[in-house]
Amino acid sequence: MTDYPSPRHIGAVNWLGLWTLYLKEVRRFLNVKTQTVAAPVVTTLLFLAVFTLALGRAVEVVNGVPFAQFLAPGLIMMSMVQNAFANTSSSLVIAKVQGNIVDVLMPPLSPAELTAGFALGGTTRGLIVGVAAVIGMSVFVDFSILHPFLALFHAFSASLMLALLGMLGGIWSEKFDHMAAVTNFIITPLAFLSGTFYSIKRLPEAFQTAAHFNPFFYMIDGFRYGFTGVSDTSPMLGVAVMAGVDAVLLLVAWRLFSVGYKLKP
Amino acid sequence: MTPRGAPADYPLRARRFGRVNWIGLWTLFLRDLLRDLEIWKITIAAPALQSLLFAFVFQLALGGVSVTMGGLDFSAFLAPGLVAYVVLERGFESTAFMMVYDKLEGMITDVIGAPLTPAEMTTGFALMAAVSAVITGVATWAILLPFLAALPANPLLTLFFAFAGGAMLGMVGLAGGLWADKWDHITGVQTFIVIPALFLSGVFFSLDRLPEEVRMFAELNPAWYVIDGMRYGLTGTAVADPWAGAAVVLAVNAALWLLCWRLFVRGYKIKA
Repeated sequence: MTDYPSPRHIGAVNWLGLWTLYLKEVRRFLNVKTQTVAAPVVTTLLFLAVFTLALGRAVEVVNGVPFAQFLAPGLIMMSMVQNAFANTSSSLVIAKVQGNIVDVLMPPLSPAELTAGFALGGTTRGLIVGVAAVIGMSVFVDFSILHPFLALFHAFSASLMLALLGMLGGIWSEKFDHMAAVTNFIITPLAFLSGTFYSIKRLPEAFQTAAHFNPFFYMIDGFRYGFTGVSDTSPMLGVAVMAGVDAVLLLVAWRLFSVGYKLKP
Repeated sequence: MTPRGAPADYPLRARRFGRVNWIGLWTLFLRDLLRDLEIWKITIAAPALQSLLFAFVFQLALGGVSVTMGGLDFSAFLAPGLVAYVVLERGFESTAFMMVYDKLEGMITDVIGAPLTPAEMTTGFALMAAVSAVITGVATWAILLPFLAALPANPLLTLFFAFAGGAMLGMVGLAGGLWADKWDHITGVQTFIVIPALFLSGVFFSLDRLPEEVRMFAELNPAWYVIDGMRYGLTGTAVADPWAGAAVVLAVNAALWLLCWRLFVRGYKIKA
């Protein structure tokens, strides 16, 4: 009679549950690593080839940096953020469409733990893709990383930001169409037009002002500063903006899980 | 016996087919084309917008420096390349993704079970890909018109190359879709073979920018003739002789048609 197992005692944080959710998110993409890690690296290298072959003779330096060295951090950042976004958004949409979202909602995980588990999974994908892209690119471009900690901060904060945006998009979307629309018509244009391929100084005055309200601009500019030591705006301002945006998005995601927006009846 | 609701003199007999099952061919073509058009945001709007982004980004990266590429001003060179890229890419995606989807969902039996010969299946899919690609190409051309700064020099030749190029990649996608057992395989073909082959063959730069050894391979790529031919049709300037290009494209299409026809005859990966 005395041998019944007692119910599991969960402290302030369900570490085991959080770890399990995180592992599920990471193993989900590592299971198809050709698609989720190798493919983005190849695409990034293709962009590098195409831009340097097409423009290399005409554009030798940007902001005093050789064109390929200017381009490389922008392309690496673009692949990181696109993949961080893809990880959380696809995970949630597929789970909702197939109904296995209950596997996430039923276990004893608090909204904060759900937010952290998904967000860190997406961030991990972003960082792994980033490291792979850096390695792939170092074969072709002779770049150095002047401020590694700043580069790492921006890699992490940008991946986290897009992982959180992917969660919001995934929670909001009711079908794959919605998700594809968010990716094609919002995320891709923002990733393309926020200074990945050019210095923001090339833009007309009004667009330069607008760029300073676009977090994508700060992540690319700050990450590039970490590599080249040259930036369009103050790197410390970029750190503050990214930290602020991430904090707000964390709160929004936590709130959506708390109220069960489009997840619970 | 007469089916319920049919006129008393309803002729209940097996349908007679001529040499070609025209109704079946048309139905297959229309079914798949409508599937593509129904998701126009993904199949038409997204590629057109992506091309516009490329055009903007290259323009801004150039930053006002004037560049001549292949005898044209850079933006006039790039825009036809982007239209051609969209046409070829869409041709591939339309048949490839449809075939993998149908196989995974078991819907492929709807095609195999219909009274369609392998030749009719191949032709139906190839024509569908060509028309889908041309529709997306026209939309992309319209959105890129400000960069082209001129109406097509030779609209008919442009349409020919777009149609033939769409059919070509459509049949590549068809063969790839028949071969692929899951999504991983077909996106692998797309990311590691098709997109690099298209990106590095005259969409964004003329081939003289390539190192000599690589250039030879790029010139062997049939997609290059489609891109160069469409650029000739849209701007009047090309590297290769457009008629030689047309001959190459038609020969490649004939070979691909035979390959796909053979795969359907054997029932490769779709019949037990």
